[in-house]
Amino acid sequence: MKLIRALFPDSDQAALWRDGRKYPRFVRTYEGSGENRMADSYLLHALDTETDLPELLILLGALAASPRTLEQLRRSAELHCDDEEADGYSRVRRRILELEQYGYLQRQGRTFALAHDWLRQLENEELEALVQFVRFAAGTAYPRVAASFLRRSAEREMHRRGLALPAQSLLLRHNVSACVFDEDIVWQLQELIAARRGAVITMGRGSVECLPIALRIDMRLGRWYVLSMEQRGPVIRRVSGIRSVKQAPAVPPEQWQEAQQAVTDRFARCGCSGAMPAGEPVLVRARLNFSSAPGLQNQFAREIRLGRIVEREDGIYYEAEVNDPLELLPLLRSYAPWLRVLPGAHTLDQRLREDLLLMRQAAEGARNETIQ
Amino acid sequence: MKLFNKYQSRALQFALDLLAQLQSTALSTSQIQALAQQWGLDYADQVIQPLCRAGFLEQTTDGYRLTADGTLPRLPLSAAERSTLAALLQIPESQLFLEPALWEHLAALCAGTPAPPSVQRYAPAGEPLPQHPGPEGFRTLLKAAQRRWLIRYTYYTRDHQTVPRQAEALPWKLEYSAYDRRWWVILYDPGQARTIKARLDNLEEIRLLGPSGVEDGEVEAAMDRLLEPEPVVLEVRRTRGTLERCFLVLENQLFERTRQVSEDCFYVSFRYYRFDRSEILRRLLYLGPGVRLISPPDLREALVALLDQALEA
Repeated sequence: MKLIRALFPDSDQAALWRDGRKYPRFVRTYEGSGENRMADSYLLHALDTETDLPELLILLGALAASPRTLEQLRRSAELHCDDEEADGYSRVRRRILELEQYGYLQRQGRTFALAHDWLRQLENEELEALVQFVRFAAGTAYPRVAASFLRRSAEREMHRRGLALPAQSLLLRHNVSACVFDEDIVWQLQELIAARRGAVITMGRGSVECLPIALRIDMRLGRWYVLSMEQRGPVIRRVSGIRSVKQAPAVPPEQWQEAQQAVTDRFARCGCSGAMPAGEPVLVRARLNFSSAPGLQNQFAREIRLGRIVEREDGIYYEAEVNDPLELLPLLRSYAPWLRVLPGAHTLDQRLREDLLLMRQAAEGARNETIQ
Repeated sequence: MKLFNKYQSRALQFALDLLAQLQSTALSTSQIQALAQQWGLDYADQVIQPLCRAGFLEQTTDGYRLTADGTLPRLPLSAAERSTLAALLQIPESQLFLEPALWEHLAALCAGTPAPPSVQRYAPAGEPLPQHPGPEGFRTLLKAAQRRWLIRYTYYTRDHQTVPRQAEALPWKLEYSAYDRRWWVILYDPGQARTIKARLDNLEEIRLLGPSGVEDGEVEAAMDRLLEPEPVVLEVRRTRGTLERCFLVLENQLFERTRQVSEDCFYVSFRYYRFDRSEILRRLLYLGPGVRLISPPDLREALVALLDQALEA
C-alpha cells in the first residue's frame, strides 16, 4: 500500500472504502499511457537497508575496481561489517554466487568479475535511442517486466553520464499490463522449457507434475498460459492460477519431442481454450459484407487471430478451423453488423443471434429507463 | 531464477540511481528526497544513512556528495536483461527506433546470449510496419516530439489519396496500438490551436523546422476539447469475469468511477475521445450481453442501430 501510494500519489485521495477495506485507485491519463508503472510493483521486494544494502554495494564497488577472489571480497566486506560473530566468508560467498547466478558476475578461475557492461559501450545518442526503444518494448512486448528492468538500467546509464532523459513521446493503446505479476512464474517456466525439464506446479487446489512445452500470451487480455504435457495428456492452463513452480528432472530428447508434437497438434487451432466440444476441429465460415463500412474490412483482417479471409466468386468469406468455435464469438460479435455466420457443425450462428437479441433487449430497456 | 528479486528492490535501485546521478551533479536534500519518492521510498534517509556509514556518501551544507575514495558500485545488465534485449532486437519495430548501425552493434553485443524460448503470441494478424514515412521519418518525428520542434510534412487523406498536401505542425506524441500494431501521430497545429490524429502511414517527407514554443498544457487542453462531454456509463454483470474483461478490453479509455449497485452488478463509467467512438461500439459488441450501455443516449442509439443491422444481416 505504501508503495502504491508513493508511486501513484493520487491513488490515496481517489481511494474507495468498501466493507471496511480500502481500495486505492489511480487514474489512467491519455498522455501518461506510455508509462508502464505496473511493472514497478517488482520494486516491492524487501532488502535490509542496514546490513544487506551496504554490504552488497561494497562488494559491487570492489568488483567494479577489479576482479576479486572470494577471500579478497570477504576482506572488503569485513572492513564495514560490525558483526564480528557473523560468518563473513560464507555470507559473502552466498551473495557472490547468487550475483553470478543472476548473471551480474562472471567467474574467471578463482576470481569473480562484473559482467561485461554493454551500455557503457554506447555513444550518448545510441544510448538515448536505446532508451526510447526499450521504453516502447517495456510497454508493448511480452514478457515485459525484464524489459522494464532493462529500461531502468539504460536510464541509469544516462543519469551517470549527466544526460537528461528523453521526454516521453509515446502513447500506448491496448498495452494491457494486468498480468505483470504472473511474469515471475513465466520466467521460471521459460527456464524449465529451455532446459527441457519437468516441473511440479502448485495451484490453489494442489500440485501437479507436468512437462512444460510452451508459453502463450493472449494479446487482447494480457493473460499468460502454459501449454504442457501431463499424465492425462496435453493441457493448457492459466499462469495466474499457479502459485509456485519447482523444477523436476530433465527428460530425454525423444520424450520431449513427442510431448512437444502432441501439445502442438492439440493446441494449434485454438487460442486459450482447452475445450474441443466436437472431439475434433470444426470449420467456421462467415460471409462478409463491409459495403456499408468502407475500410472496416482492413480492420477486421487486422484483428483476426485464428483463420483467414477468403475471396470466392460469390463473395468474401472468413474461414477458420478451430477446436472451440465459441472462442471466435467475441470477434464475430464485434463485427456482426457486417457478417453472417453460416451454419455448420457448431452452434455459433445461433449463439451469436441469441447474444445480439439479448443485447438489443438490454439496450431497449436502458432507453425506456431513461425516458421514465 | 526469479524476476521478483532483491536486485530490483526499490532500496538498491534508488541507491544505484543516486550514486549514478551524483557522479555528474551534486544533489540537494530535497532533490534526493524527491528521487527517493520516485522509487517508492517514504524517506531517503533509510538508504542515505547506511550509504554514509559505508563510506559512499558524505553530507554537505545543503545535500550530499560522493566521497573521494573508492570505485563506485555498479550493477551491469543481468542475464535476464541481456536475453531480453536479444529477443527485443527481433521485433520488427526495432528497425523503426534503432539506426541500422546501432542495431548491428547491439546484435553483435547480444551474439551468444541465449534469447528466452519464444512465446506463442495469440495475437491478431495486425499491421505490417508502416511503409511511410520510413524508419528515418519515424526517428525524425520522435526527435521533433522530444524537442517540441515544428515539422513540415507531406500527407495524404482518404479523399486525396493521389494528390499530396503539405502542412506544418508540432508532432506531440506517437501513438501505437499494441494489439493490432497500428501507428498514429498526434499533431498539434499552433495556428488553429487544434490537434490532428493522423495515420503514420499517411505522412512522408518530414523535415525539422525548429522550436515550436508550444507548452504541453496547450496541447493537453486541445486534447481535452476532443473529449466527449458525457461519460459512457456501463452496467456490468459479474458473470464469468465480465468486469475484468470490461476493464481489459476498454483499457485505453479514461475510467472515472466503478460503483457496485448490487451483489452481482456494477456501474462503470469512463470518458472518451471523439475519435474512439466507433471503436467503443465494436468493443461493446465484443463484450456481449454481460455489459449494458446505459448512457450517453446518442451512443446507445448508435449501438441499437448496429444491433439492428446485425440482426438483419
